Amino acid sequence: MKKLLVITLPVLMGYIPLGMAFGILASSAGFSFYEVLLSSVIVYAGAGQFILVALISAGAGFLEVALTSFLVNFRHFFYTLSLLEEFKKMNFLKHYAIFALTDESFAIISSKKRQIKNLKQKGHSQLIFAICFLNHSYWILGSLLGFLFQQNVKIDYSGIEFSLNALFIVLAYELYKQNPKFKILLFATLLSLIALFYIDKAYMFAFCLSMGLALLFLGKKYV
Amino acid sequence: MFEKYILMMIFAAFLGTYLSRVLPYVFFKHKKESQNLLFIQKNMPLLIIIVLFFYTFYGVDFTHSPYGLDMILACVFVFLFHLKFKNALLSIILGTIFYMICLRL
Repeated sequence: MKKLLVITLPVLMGYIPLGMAFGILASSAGFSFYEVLLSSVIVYAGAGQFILVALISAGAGFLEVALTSFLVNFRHFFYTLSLLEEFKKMNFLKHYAIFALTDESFAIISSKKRQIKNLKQKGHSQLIFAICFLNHSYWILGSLLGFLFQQNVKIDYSGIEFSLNALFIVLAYELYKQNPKFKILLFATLLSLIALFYIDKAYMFAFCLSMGLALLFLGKKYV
Repeated sequence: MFEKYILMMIFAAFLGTYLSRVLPYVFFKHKKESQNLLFIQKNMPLLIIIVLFFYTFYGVDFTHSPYGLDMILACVFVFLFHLKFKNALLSIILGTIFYMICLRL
């Protein structure tokens, strides 16, 4: 248990402030305490929850929110995919672990793959479950702290939504470092700029991701 | 306690998010990883994050003063700061504070 707390400490350090940023943002947008709590418990997606607040403020519809959430978190598709073997080995706890597979949980589980491999089914399941559960708890705690902070510390919070931009810049930098493909960077930037100026906000994701996917396949050998 | 519209949207977000995590398990638990999937797995995340980054620029007015410059400046600040100190959290928090100050100048 103590070891698990140490492993997940970096996530704690990240989730409390980022969760707080979400709590502050959601509370500023009119979410109640229970709505913030519910979002963090059942949606549990960093950038996805920020976008949820933006979409609610814009009065978006059910399908739009569901589809956007799916596309925003589309990278999680590949996390589950690359942990298939690990999940297959788990008992019923896998249902929770798959639900709670965020960037950070994925990163920690992947980094422990070798160590996890030698465990028996029960220990294996419990370890993955515990990593996911601890991280989830940090996130919920952070968002509630953020709500309480916004409610009690009365300052002007406008501009707080920039935390989303900053998050994406940092993520893009880290991803580029892991996979330094300048052509993809350039292509994604051009595609996004075209979409930003010519495509309606509601269709931007669908447009960019389908075009991106198609052109990535067509240009596979040039990447 | 709960507003019906917000509740519905939270549920929609849950559905979209959960499906993105559970579908690959449902589809591929009996299959081996294919080359195409590996290729997408490797390259798609960078593309998606860049699209997301530009998505946040909707609503910024580039035709009138300050021409979105406060936002662009704050982005440059986050990037340079992150390049130098490589601390994700610090970059995000300081960047946001920087932008909030820019807004008020």
